[in-house]
Amino acid sequence: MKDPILIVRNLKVSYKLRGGIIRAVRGVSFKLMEGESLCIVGESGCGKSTLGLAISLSLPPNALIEEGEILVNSVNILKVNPASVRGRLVSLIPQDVGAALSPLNTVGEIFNDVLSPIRSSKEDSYRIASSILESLGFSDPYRILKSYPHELSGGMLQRVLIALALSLNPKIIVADEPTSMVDASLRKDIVDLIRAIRSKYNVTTIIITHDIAISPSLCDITVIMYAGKIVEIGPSRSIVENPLHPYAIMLLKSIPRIKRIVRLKPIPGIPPDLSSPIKGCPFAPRCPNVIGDICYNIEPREYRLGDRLAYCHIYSGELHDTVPN
Amino acid sequence: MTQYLIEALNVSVNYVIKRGLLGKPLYSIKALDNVTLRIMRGESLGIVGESGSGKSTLARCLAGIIKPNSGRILYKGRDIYSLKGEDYIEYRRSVQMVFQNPHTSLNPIMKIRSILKDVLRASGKWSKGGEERLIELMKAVGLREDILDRYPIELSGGQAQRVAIARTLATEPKVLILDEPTSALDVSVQAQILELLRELKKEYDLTYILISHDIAVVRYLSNRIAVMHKGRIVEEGPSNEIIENPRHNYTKNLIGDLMKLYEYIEEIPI
Repeated sequence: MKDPILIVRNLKVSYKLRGGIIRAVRGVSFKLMEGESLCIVGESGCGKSTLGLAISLSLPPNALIEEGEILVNSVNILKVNPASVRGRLVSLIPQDVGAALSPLNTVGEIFNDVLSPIRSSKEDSYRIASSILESLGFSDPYRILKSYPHELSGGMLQRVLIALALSLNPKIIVADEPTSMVDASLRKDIVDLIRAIRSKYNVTTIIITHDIAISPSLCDITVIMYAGKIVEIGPSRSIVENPLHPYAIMLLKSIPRIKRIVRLKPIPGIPPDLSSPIKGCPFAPRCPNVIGDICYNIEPREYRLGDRLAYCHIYSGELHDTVPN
Repeated sequence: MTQYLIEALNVSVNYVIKRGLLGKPLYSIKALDNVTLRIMRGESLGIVGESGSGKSTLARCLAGIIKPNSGRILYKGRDIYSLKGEDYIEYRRSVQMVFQNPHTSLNPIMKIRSILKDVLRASGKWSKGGEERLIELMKAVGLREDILDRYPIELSGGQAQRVAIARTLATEPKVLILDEPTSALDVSVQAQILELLRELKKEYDLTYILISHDIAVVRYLSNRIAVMHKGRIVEEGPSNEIIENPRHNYTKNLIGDLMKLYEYIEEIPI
């Protein structure tokens, strides 16, 4: 049995805003085994980016980790010096490719900066950087290192950011919506590249995406989030083929297909306001499968169903064992 | 002879990137290169293509927002730039556009009520019973009346896009040009808007021109698809045929790539 590379335990993250406190992640626990890749899927405001940013220690200053642990190789990364973790154990490929790099520095200077903990000289950092860039498909890495970010196309910048994220040999890379703002043809290239770096650099990839349909071709395991909580977790293919949680079921019914026309069934209503406390199951007000007051009053625990965990009271009638931990 | 509702004939548009000292264009990009497209009444035409393929430029030409450098735009067989007075106003009323981001296409300092009132006034549809018309418009797009007294910023993306659609319906249009109407929205909200658009088309006997980079969205609403690449229409035909049996290499690759990315979800029986 392989060891878990990542364990998240009861993580709660909130944002302080002028209007009050937004509880973006409201208690999330899961485990990821060595060699597995993960997709965190959900709609705007479900907390998927906050969870990903927390794992990569890249939360903005107004975010507060209220509770919980994030263990990478059994080390609680919230308890050690962030500089020793960020980039070296976990790193982030940010969402906004255009805004991610300083426009005043060449790509080489940026690499020199990022590589400072391990390089001996500027030449050394250029050598390391160019070998990573080359492995990501750049035929002339030195030209890229001499370029400023504005001289590169969106697709090239994306690859430079992947190279930067890889440069300190992290165990885990978190990519925030890597495929959301790009055309279909480029989307395929990015998916192929992410799959390639996984084996080439022996790195665990965590992809944050709103596109549940893409998760089976990207990652082994999928987590579906709703209103700051996990609603279902399991192998990506099983989830897409046979979702168990009512939210997951309805989400998949609202995706238009390419090859045939399936009448869409939109989810009625809107997600709850995360600035006020939520009682019971967060999806209950929109759920067609509500089984009684229990849904509005008690937060559902996890139920193990085959290869999956689902957080929904409709499975409480059956005798399922919860996983330890 | 078939009467087309709206047509683009040999339309070319150049965007000037750099001008000389006296304003003479030095360097320009061909956004549309001799494009011809004809749309019949009651049709729903989808235009797909990647960023920079010219699909939005074409939409804006048909809506009369961009004047082509060469070629003609016809509405009911007449060149829109030759229309005068009442005829021109009728064209502007009849051809309406819904934009990608509702939060930037709605005036942020006006309440929804004033936004809709303005459109009704400007199109000469505001009368004594106007208030009831506002409520009717809200109902048509599935919004509650109290939304009328909100500002755009107070609305969710889906609600704001419904308002943007209500605003176009206010002029009692014949043609809706939808430029990426759902790409700023979440999938569950996207499904709501797609369903709404489907119902509105039936109810108001509308003609749709739908621009999207998402071929599944286009498929859902359109009976005909035009594929654009580098400022040209490279392929055009019934939706089924374009998707099942693409002929142009660009379309083949596009659909091939998408089918690889979404093979699992495409295979699942429903």
